[in-house]
Amino acid sequence: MTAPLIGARVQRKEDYRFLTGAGMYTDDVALPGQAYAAFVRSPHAHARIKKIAVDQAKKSPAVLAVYTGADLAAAKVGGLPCGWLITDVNGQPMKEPPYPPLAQGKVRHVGERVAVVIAESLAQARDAAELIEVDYEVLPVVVDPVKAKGAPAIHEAAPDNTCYVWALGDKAAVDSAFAKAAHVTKLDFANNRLIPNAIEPRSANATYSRAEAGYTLYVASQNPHVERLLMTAFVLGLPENKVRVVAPDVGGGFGSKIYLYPEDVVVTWAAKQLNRAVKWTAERTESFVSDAHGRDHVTTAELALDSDGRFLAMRVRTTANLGAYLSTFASCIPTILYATLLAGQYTTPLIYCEVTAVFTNTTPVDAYRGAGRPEATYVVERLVETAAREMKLDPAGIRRKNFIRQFPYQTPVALCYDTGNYDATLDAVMKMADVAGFKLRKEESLRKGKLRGLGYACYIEACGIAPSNVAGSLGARAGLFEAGEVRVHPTGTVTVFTGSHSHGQGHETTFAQVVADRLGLPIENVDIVHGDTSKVLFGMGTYGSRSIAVGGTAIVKALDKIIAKGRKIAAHLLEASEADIEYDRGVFKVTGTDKQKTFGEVAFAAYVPHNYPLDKLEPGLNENAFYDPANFTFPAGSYVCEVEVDRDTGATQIVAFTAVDDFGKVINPMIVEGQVHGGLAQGIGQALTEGCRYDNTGQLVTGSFSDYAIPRAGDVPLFKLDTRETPCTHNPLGVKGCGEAGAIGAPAAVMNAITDALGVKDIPMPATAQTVWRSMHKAA
Amino acid sequence: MNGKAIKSCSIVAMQAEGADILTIEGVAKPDGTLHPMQAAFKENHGLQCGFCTPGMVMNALDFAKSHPDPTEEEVRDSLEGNLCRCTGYHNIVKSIMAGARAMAGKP
Repeated sequence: MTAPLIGARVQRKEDYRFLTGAGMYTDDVALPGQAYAAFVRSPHAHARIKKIAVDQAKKSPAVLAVYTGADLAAAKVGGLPCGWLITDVNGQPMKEPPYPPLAQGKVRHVGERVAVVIAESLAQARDAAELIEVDYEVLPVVVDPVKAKGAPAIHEAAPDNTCYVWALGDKAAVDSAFAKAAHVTKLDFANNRLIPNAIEPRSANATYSRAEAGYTLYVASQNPHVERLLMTAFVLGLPENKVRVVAPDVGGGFGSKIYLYPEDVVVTWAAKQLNRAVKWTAERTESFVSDAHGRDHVTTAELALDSDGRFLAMRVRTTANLGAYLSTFASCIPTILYATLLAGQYTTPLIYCEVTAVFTNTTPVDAYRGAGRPEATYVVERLVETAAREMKLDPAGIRRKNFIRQFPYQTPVALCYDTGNYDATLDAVMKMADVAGFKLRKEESLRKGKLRGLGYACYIEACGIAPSNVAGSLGARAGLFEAGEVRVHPTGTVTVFTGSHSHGQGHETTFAQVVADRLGLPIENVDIVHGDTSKVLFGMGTYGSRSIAVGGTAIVKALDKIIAKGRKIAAHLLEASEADIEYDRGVFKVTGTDKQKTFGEVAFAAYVPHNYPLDKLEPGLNENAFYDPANFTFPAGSYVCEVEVDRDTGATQIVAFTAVDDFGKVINPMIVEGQVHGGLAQGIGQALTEGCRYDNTGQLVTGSFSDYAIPRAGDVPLFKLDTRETPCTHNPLGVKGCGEAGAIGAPAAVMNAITDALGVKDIPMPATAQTVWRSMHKAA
Repeated sequence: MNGKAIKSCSIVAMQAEGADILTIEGVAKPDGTLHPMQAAFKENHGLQCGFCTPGMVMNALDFAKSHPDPTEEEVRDSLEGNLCRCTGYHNIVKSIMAGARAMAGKP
């Protein structure tokens, strides 16, 4: 017997290698005879390419090849596909302009790849890249999404720079509710563009074997099977069985490593041309200009209320900046993952949301931690808090007045919440944050010359993406299930293969806890393998807080098959009826007797089948399962942020941040807390420090850590956390997912606190000292 | 380098000639037992993706020599030059406080 592992703070299996320098990230992978790629990138945000002179570079020492867009076109290399088709308000498909891996004829954002040099060493590749001369004809630029529509066309396929105009909800009913409302709260704001900045830069190392006629690509990816599928089927036209994709240790993703990137395609294609391994690792500056960015919405949001503060309707108009090209999942973020979350935790009966998605001369924008849901939460929670202040109602009280309390709950924006208890998290967070004592603390701060403010955010997210048929009906071009395999070895130890991918989340520990708990084995006897298409049967990967809810459930299903087969074997060994065999934490027993066989004995019998029902049962103990969820999961929580603003400088300090989340069943509280800490820091970064800026010519002026401030240790406090549990009703573990919550809830909580401190209706993110100081002086 | 935490990217090889170099690979005992600072990171979940971890640990080892029982604020100040995108620093701060105390033989 072993102690229950579900809910235990088990220390991580992966830590030893990371703490001793034994991690193996893509850039650590050294393939025999590897050559190095350097990309020539556009210095212009929008320009026609008149000529690319490559002769000097080709003659440079140790250069193996120089390729441009023309070479890829001649080789019939396709453009990068978008994985989600959005249908616009007129029933027309979104505009999908080509996204060539190397520019063809035109460049559309700073940092776009124009050519690649491959040489014996990185220094030689870079030196030769300097020798490539590109003759550009500079074209007019648009970076502001609101101005995109009237600007000169970026793509022929989208003359008005509009990818789609999309809407959800009953506009007429919403308009009519607004006309009758006692109070309307209106806010105009931007959800600021963010640059993900995983600490490990993107990296790809590809090799080709003539003997096997096959490729191997090592790549910093969150979903190696998806990468392979997109690259083979849509871009390179290769047979999938001839391409192995390995995502080894990956140093953070946050969404930015979901996508198929041009560099991955180019090095893979080049590996065969040169019959050499070809490696590329991004410089930090390349990461800034070429990793997909996040957010970038401009929104007008309105909430209609009756005189008691009950929500009657919500109306939201958003312009979403997609950047210069459609990244892999760009189209579904400001639509399917945004508008559907606008009910939040509330019974708002009518919601209408219209989204105009536009192309601009900026880096492509796609999912970044939270992906649509932070933007939705920001809309809802800024509106609710502002409405409370305008109507002189208690901000917690107005939330309670509108909480959903009956489940399942069908929202007016397509989702059906299975379960939740929003009072429980709000009650808990108010107690932990000592909201009652805030008034005294505010007075104390004032004596020190500081303005203190308190802000709430009650968020909801839809995770565990998704039922495939629902996603398909909404335009997804992929399934969204997960796969798992449980391989029991003859001596009873277990290797589990999962299609989820860990890039910091600690799956090697959490998933092993699930397996060891279910089988009643010591956790040391269980290993988790992920990230290699040649080992794992299939996988849709890790994003949208889906790993435990979808990937974990696939493993549980495979475990149940293992136990079912084990009962058959045990029944034979114990000469009992299968119906009388029960499995209890590592032991198969005949009910009501002391006859039993251990898991190890049954496994051994399966692989050494001397006494075995070979006429009825295959030998071996190895099972696969695919799991397609019945619904999204709906993690939710309540956050309270307290800030102090320096009256002289405008500098804002987060003095307390309290978060109570409901993630359903928690497998490893230590890891869950770590996920929340990291999410909160990214959300606080969005609110306080991270301001991506382009100038009018499309130059990224925040293209380094000197100009783009991801939070440092001194920017964030120690967090106070707790959880409440309402188990998910439609997966066997009762889990919901926890990876994005902090990033979803934090920005609204911080901005509600700052506006409370300043006594202003709104202030833009990021609320840097300068922004706050300007706001104070404007208000005064 | 010579007992001080330095950024390898800002030291050229010539500057390191004859110097005593310790990297993350050499911090654990020869039998593989983790150094108390490494153990503190593991016990306090002070790492997630692991990519910033070597820098965090090497910096903490230097810092702990002069700060046997550091405050939260001192630890945060010491991390000015180290970025992490996963942990929100919460558990890194706790790890370094615990690791420094362990190195000083304090409970």
